[in-house]
Amino acid sequence: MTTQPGGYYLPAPSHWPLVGSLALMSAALGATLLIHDLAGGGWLLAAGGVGLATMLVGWFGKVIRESESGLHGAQVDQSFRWGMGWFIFSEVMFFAAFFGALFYGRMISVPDLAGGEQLRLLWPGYSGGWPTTGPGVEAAFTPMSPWGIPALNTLLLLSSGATVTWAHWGLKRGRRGQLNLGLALTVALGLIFLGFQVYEYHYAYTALGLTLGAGIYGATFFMLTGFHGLHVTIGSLMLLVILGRSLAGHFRPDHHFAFEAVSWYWHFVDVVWLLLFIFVYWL
Amino acid sequence: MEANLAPSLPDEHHAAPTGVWRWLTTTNHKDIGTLYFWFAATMFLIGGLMAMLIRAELFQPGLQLVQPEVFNQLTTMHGLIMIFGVIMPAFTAFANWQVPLMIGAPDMAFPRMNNWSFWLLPVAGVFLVGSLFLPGGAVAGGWTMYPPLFMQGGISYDLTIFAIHIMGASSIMGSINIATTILNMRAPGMTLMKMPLFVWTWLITAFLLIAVMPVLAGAVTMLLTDRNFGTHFFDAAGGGDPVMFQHVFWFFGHPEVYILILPAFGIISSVIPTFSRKPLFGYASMVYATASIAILSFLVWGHHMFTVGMPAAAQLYFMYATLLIAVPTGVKVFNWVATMWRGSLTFETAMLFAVAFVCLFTIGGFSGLVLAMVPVDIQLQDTYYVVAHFHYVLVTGALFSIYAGLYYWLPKWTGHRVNETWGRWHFWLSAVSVNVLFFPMHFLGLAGMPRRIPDYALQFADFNRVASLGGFIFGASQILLLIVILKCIRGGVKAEARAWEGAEGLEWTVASPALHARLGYEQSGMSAADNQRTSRRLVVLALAMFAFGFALVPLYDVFCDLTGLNRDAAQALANNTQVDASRKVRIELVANVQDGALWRFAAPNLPVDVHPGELVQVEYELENLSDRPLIGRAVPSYAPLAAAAHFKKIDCFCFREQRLAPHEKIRLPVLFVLDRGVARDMKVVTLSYTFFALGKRT
Ligand code: HEM
Ligand SMILES: [Cu+2]
Repeated sequence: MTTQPGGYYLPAPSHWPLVGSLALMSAALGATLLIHDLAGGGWLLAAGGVGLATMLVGWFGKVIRESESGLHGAQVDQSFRWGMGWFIFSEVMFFAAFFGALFYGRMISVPDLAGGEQLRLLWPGYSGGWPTTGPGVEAAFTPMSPWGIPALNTLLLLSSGATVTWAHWGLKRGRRGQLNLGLALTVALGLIFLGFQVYEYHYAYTALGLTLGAGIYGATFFMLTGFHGLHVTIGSLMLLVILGRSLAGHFRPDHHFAFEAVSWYWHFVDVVWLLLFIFVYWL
Repeated sequence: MEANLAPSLPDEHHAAPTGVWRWLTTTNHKDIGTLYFWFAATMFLIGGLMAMLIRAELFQPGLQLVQPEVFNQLTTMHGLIMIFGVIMPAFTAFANWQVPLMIGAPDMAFPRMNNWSFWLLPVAGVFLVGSLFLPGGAVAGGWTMYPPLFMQGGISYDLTIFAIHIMGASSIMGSINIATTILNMRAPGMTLMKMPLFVWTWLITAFLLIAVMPVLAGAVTMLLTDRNFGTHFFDAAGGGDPVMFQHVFWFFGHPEVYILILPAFGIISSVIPTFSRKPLFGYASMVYATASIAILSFLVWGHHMFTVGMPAAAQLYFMYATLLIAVPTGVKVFNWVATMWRGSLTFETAMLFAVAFVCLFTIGGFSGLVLAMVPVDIQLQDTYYVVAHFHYVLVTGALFSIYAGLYYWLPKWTGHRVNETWGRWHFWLSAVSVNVLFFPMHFLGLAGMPRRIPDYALQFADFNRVASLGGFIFGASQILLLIVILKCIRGGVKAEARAWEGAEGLEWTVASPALHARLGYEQSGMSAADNQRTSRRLVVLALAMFAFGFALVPLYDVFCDLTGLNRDAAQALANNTQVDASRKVRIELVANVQDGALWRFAAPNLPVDVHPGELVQVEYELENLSDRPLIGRAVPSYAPLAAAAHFKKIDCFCFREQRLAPHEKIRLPVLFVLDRGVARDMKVVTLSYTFFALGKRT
């Protein structure tokens, strides 16, 4: 048995987690108050947001400095890989809950409401089908057609998956130009995607009558695409950071897990979009 | 103590913070383990006081101490606090302290994130406990948070949702940390199949947590938007369904109960070999049993929903799948017993708790099996029987394992031996009173006392009083534990590195206390062929278990054909030749049908009067009113319940699939004997059939 530390980098005590906890506390309290129209809610929520942003900048800044000063050995790198993998798995399960709700609505609750006793006793005349606002919600809406913006968005995200991989090739072969260009293109595609989505939401609310309150269709539509959009936003921000670091000369061909983590994340967001496109927009 | 360990560690170049700041900013797994422990202890006190209040209210019928709304808040908060605030953090405390020591890692893989995982918990704890004092009080619809009731609450409901989000984030980060530590930071030579079982159980628990906490987060997010932002996930008017919440919740909830017990299995598997002075019996089978339990736990959530309405086929599936879990659980129990078999046993407090765990957890497992049977559960769902079940698995299971682990590892953590005299008092008082507390609840449940009720009918008074008395003694006895722990921290006989002479494992090779020392070894990667083989086997096992789960219903049919299981009823006839002509029992026949628009299902118009022991035939009628072929199936039930035992059906259409062509009309005979054992005072018996359509209804 040897008592060498084995080179695994163990960080010193840090106040950032504490900042993060306080920030989340403030944000959650603020959101609760805001929902109930109570005084101070907005302020607390904003303070929490600022606190959280500060923490992220401070914490990740520290990790980046540690990485650049060579403290992260191969084993730390391996830990990051496992960690990111598990994290993405947890995200998959989060989306699974909402996909579950979508499938349940389409295959079970809506057909059930349109048949049998429920039909006779509760809502005679409800015909079911999909998309639907459900039997008791009085709102007419047009479903979102898959072949306009959504199809375009699919194209955008898929190409962004390609550009980020192209950037990775550049990084591995030491072609910094290709790396930076690839990253910049990926960020741009991500941002265009988000722009389209904002437009699509606006269009849904104003022209189609499709709102969050439009029954089970509206609920699953906005929650699924909304959480996905949030993930694209986060992914784009992370990509921007990576781009900044790359411009500052960070990353080596053999040591760049931060880049890979973000690209894993980006591919994950991509795959979720494909499922969204198929099950929410198309079928 | 520390001098002989780890000569120079990277973080010791910094001045270590002291006082409160040390605890707020620490990145040391041992400090963080201690924090988790004291958090769990504090929440245990709060949740325990709530339990005392609940038992005090239930001490006698009528409303004495609290109003019904407050009572409901108490039971809800008690459940949430004990699950998320006590058992889970306590197990995480063990993981933090023990996993790095046991696998020879210098610390957790992500020490800073480890700190954050912990410091999120007090935030959630403050939200939960604080919500009791908000206008409208805390959440009162039960820890399961079912809509539509959950839709109706006030501000504390939203705060609770956020508390759950925050606890979820904490658990997910904690689990990522633990899983990564185990997968990536083992000492050289420690292949997966050489890890202590406690580490294995935590690896699998971490996997379960990462898989299901996000699902819970999704479920409560839907509650949040349904409550506040106009979505209709759980509202039938919008095409949603409150039952959908139950599906999502229990998809989280059942794996969650295994999250609450797998680490317990790990602790017990460490304690029993030490005090039996024998290696754990069947190590590999333990690993595979743990993995199969984890996988099966994703496939059985419906057993919490037998009464909410689901197709008969789904009920059958969930029943068989749930019963199947008994197999790997049984493997474990047998392995523990086999470990003790012919060992040189001694009964230190840790071992006492471990042995009590094996006995009493098994009782909880058995009542779980009882509840897993659909016809039984339909009677028992939401009664005290369920309360008895989950308290046996959680209190005498999870909590007792935590006690066993504390008595076992405290010497390692504090450097002092535990005071065995106090420990034994704590054990015996707890072990006796906990049975006085929870065992009568089985009887209450069988007699029909509903759970979550502050007042009850007079006939339940005696058992409730007994349970409350047991509860007060159990509650008071826990003060002894606090004393034991404090004594152990403050002083006592010095503990050696190997605090128990029968103990094996890396943690016993470092000095006691192991405080601040961080173990360091040359690290092994994940490349060992052995690891890959284990992983491959686990994947194959996972696939096989999934496949097996889905093949259960057809397999059961084959099984019945082979064994003639369903023909048993016919044999009952032979024992039943004598007719009791001295009395008659009136049998009322009832027919219920789902989807009355499609089917007509009718019982004979008149009740029949039969002599006990007499062979009787009656006929039901079934007609397909629609224009297409239909399939359905009938399920019988009896009132009063006691009559069921005396109904011997020789031929019956129940449980059989009926296929009807459009507008076809058939007669369904039932041939039965009401046996002579039926009580004399039972003058009227109702036999009712409920007919369900099978397959997709459109
Ligand atoms: C042999 C293994 C087990 C089986 C077959 C089993 C079966 C069941 C069934 C069928 C129910 C539903 C009862 C009802 O609501 O009508 C139930 C409830 C419950 N079980 Fe188990 N169980 C087992 C082990 C466990 C373990 C190990 C735990 C936790 C450590 C646990 C915790 C619970 C809890 C908390 C509930 C009540 C949930 C609620 O409605 O609030 N069970 N169990
Ligand atoms: Cu369960």
